[in-house]
Amino acid sequence: MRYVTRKLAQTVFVVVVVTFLTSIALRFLPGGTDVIVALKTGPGATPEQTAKVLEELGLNKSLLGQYVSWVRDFVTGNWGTTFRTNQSIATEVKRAMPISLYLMIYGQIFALGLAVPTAVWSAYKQNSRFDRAATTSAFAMLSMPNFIVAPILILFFSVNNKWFPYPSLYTSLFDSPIDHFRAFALPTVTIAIPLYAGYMRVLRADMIGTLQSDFITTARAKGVGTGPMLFKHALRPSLFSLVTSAAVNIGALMGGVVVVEQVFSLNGMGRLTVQSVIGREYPTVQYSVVILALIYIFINLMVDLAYAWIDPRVRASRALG
Amino acid sequence: MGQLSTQSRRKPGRLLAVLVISAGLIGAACGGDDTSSKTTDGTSPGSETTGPGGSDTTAAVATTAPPPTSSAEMQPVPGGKVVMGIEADTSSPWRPSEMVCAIGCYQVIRNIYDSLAMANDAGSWGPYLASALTPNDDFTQWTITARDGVTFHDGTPFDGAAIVENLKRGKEGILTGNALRPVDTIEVDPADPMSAIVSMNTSWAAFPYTLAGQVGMMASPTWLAASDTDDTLKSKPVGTGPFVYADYKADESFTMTKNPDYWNAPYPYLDSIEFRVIPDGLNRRDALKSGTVDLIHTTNGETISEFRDSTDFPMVEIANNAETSYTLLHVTQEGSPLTDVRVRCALAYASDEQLLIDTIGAGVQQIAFGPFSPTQVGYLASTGFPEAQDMAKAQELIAAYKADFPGPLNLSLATTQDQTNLTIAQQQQQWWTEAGVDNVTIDQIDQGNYIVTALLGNFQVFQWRNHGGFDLDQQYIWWHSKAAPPVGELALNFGRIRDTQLDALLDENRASADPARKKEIAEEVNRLFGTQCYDLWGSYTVWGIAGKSTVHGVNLFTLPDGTEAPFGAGIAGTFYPMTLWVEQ
Amino acid sequence: MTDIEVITDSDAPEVPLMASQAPAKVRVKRRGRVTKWLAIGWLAFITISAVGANSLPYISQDCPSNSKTCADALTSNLRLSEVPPTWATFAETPKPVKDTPSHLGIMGTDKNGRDIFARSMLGARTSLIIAGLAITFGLIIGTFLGMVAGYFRGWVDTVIENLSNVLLAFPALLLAIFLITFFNPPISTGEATTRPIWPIILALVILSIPPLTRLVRANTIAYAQRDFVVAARSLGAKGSRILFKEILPNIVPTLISFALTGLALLIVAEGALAFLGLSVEAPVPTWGSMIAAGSEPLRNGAWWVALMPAFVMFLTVLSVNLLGDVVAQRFNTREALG
Repeated sequence: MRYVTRKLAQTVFVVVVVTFLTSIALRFLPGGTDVIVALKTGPGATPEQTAKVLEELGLNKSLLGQYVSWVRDFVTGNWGTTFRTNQSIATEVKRAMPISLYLMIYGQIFALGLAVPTAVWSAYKQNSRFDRAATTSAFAMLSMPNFIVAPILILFFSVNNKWFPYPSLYTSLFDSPIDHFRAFALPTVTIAIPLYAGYMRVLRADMIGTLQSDFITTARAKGVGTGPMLFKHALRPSLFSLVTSAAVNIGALMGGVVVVEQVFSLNGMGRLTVQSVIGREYPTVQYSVVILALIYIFINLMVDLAYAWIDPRVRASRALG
Repeated sequence: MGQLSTQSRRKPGRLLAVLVISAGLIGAACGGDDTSSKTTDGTSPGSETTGPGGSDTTAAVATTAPPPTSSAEMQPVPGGKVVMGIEADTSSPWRPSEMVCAIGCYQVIRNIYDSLAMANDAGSWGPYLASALTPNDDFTQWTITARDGVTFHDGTPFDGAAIVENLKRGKEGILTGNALRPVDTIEVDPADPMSAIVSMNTSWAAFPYTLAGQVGMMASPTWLAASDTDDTLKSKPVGTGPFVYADYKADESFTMTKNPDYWNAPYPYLDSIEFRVIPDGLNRRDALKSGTVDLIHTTNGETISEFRDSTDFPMVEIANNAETSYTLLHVTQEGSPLTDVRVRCALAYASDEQLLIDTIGAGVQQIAFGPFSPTQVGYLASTGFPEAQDMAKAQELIAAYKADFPGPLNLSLATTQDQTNLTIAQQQQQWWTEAGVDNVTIDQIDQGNYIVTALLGNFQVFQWRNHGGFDLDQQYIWWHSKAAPPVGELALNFGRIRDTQLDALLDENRASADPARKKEIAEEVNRLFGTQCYDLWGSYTVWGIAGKSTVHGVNLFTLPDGTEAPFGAGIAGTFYPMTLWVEQ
Repeated sequence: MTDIEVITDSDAPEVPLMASQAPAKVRVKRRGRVTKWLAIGWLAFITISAVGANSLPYISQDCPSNSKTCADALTSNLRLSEVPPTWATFAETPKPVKDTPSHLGIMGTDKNGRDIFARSMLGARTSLIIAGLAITFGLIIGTFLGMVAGYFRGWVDTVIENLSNVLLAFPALLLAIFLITFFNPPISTGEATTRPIWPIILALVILSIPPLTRLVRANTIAYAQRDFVVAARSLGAKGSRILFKEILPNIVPTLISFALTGLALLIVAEGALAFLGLSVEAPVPTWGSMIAAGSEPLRNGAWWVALMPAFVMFLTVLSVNLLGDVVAQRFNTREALG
């Protein structure tokens, strides 16, 4: 219980600090608040316009006051409008969120779907040609950043053979499933490649360990077939690191797919944040960064709590450590 | 503020769009306007009239044969939807006095709003939403009469008060206010509630041209008042135009539906239009080819070249009244080497514009030696501006400058984040370094801030595209020293040109109604720019409007007074979507 | 691994990176010596080329700007735009110009007619310097913080851990982007100024500190309980002495391995930032910006503009990762558990 309380306390602390820093960040931009005002009203703002903007953004209050009013706005959904296009920030975030979610979910499914069988077979047939090919290729994939993979995929699948559209014109799953999946195909593969590599290596290592343990040897001696042995007996205890990894990646992926979203012109959260940063839409940046951070924090918290619950050894050593 | 769709100067993807605010889109005083051969229906007059001015104003533009449609026999049928891919979205949408309106903006918003006046192909202007525009004897007062029986999309009646409300806001607008600077008072005519009287402190014969643009776009006063307090309403415009707002997603799409009560019957034909923002030129082209959109516009030389040869996608080219792509120089910045004409002209001599046209523009555009394209008043084949690269001369000029002003010669060149613009910028950097400039830094500015940078004067060298139109008066706000306050204040005269001779010419032109004299003035202005090298001229933009073969109607229409509206409406690249129709 | 991805949870005594390696019991004939030397060879080649890019004979230099046959790293010459490499006989340029060669160079030319091989070598300079400096500073700071946290525990530990958590709460690349934009001047001022390089390095340092701190902390905790440390302490040795003389030397191998992997990650991160246009400005080449600039030519058929620098970058990152792996294998056979 001490562990859980400590974790929760830490999380609260982090959330407070993160939201606080983000909320006051606007004040410390080079150029000062004048920049913000100029962005909102255009150059040559009158004193009344300036005062109005400062009031709206909470820049005329104390640090703490700004934080409080920011939190209030955030929680009530009163996020204001973008500078350049007068669009509701909340709407933009709501539009971007599903796209990132789709991308992340498809990427994880694809990566895990490939990684699990490959790792299992690799571990089983350790040092075979298959194993060596799998590990070498996984290692190579870890060295291929997504902005390298993407152009290659685009070249082969969109330019030379027009199987997939480029840029990915996002279509809702409900409007046209085929177009939807076609749009997400290349981005999913791009994201999944490094994920797959990581998962494959992790699971393979754990599987190798498990396959050497006593109970497996016992099971084999009892005559359990290869299939059930691998997937029922050996796989489950080996999933630990993989699951941790996958869970943590959920949060990391949300924001970390900036480059992929940019290359394929998918208007997800990552791209929204980058475009807003470049376009100096600071309030939008604030809200998207905070949301992504909160998701990530929350998921990490879940992972930590689940970790402790699942593995009593860990819990014990933690209590000591 | 300030997203000016910044597209590449000459080529694909991103072009630096013209900020056409007052856009008097209209009319040359003289000189034929070559709307010939630009329509899909081939109904244009193949006119190459020379105006009363006498000198040859025949376009030297490479024209293309009209696409092989036999549309002369086809009659427009109502119904259907068209999706058009456009090059950029608009900043500060969509209130007329606030929106930063470039080509992408005009193409979209002229469907929602009507303008009070419009250019016509007789080289003049005609009333459009207004039923009449009447000046007094010395052009210091104009009476604008609202057309009868017109209501805004929300039911508000269109009358003198509406005109007054809109023009007043225009005058207060940060950018539009510049266009209306000479205006003193705007009032409803006491004798006629349907009319407004505008008084100005100078003779302004060309005033209606300003009313053909953004300033003359009429929005519903009810909506204007409501959106004053609710920011999210600002992007849901209410006008009198042929289409009604349906949906808008910033940087994505703008959908509009037919206005069944539109006053200018039989338009529009279509049930709805969607404008999709596809900034990347290649993506836009591919979107058309894959059928995702029905129509696109483009200035990409390679794409235009490609579609010229294609029969699947008929293309209409608009090159009349074209804007010029050029490099803008900040000429009165304190301490800047660009204040010296030798440095400016050295940069011009060092540049090989034809090479850029050939390699990046696929040879489509015509090289420019001045701000006026062949169909514009004031065009000259030779202006005194360097007509080919002469590196030796450039080096000589820089050396002479350095002899007088020893010390490092540094320049910063501002461009957008677009790859093609960057390519051009790096080439320019190469040339100028060779000419003797010690250090050329490339400043990549994001689109949103690009126009702001220009407005504030926070640049030395700047890639731009502008100066389409008919009448020299449309360039007043860009070149007059009155439009050049100090750096840090907003100015449309980006380069802060303060030339008394230029001022005098512009003022004279504004007050003059004599076509012959206006032509002479424009030509003098052209030569002045040529010898002073205030800007480094590039090429005249060619726009291609390509679409599926089922889409028709990219053409002219008849104004209420019987004259024909010219193609491209003075901002090259735009047409009137209300004339579009699709085969059912 | 796209951006800096942290696969860890806050309290594991063991380091997740190590989980990817097979337990020592299994006899694994991993990458043979051949690959190891290939990796070292490539890195040596890249480093030498990066350092000497301006004067080495095999890197094309000093071409006149109107030349129709000579392309170098920095001279923009549109006549030679997008020419395929000499060995790619099946490829042709999408923009043929009269009297210019149909194939040029080891890697062809880019949109501005510059030699891609020469630019890649020059780009190595930027990438290696930025990533190298960032990992070095990150290493120093992270090691210091980690050792302090792991040895002294108590409130110092809590503070450092919480700070790490805060930093780790932000998606890595986004944090880097935000920091960089934050530190750069907002709008241009019309003066010829170059974008400074330190914000990029600073952002990358900040990103690499938390994982390093965790790693070092975990190891420090583990070693601090070992007999020789206890012995030293009972002999009266002071904390700092123990840290530097007893613990640090034992951590070094792990640090080296992590540093190498971290270096690879930072090269990729810098590449991503350059790809988004946030790294060093044109015309200084960096791999990421070269790849970004190559995406349009890619769609027009000039695949080498994007794929050649991508290949160079891939080989470099792969080599660094390989070395990191080799080092880890050499020095590690057990998992650090208290």
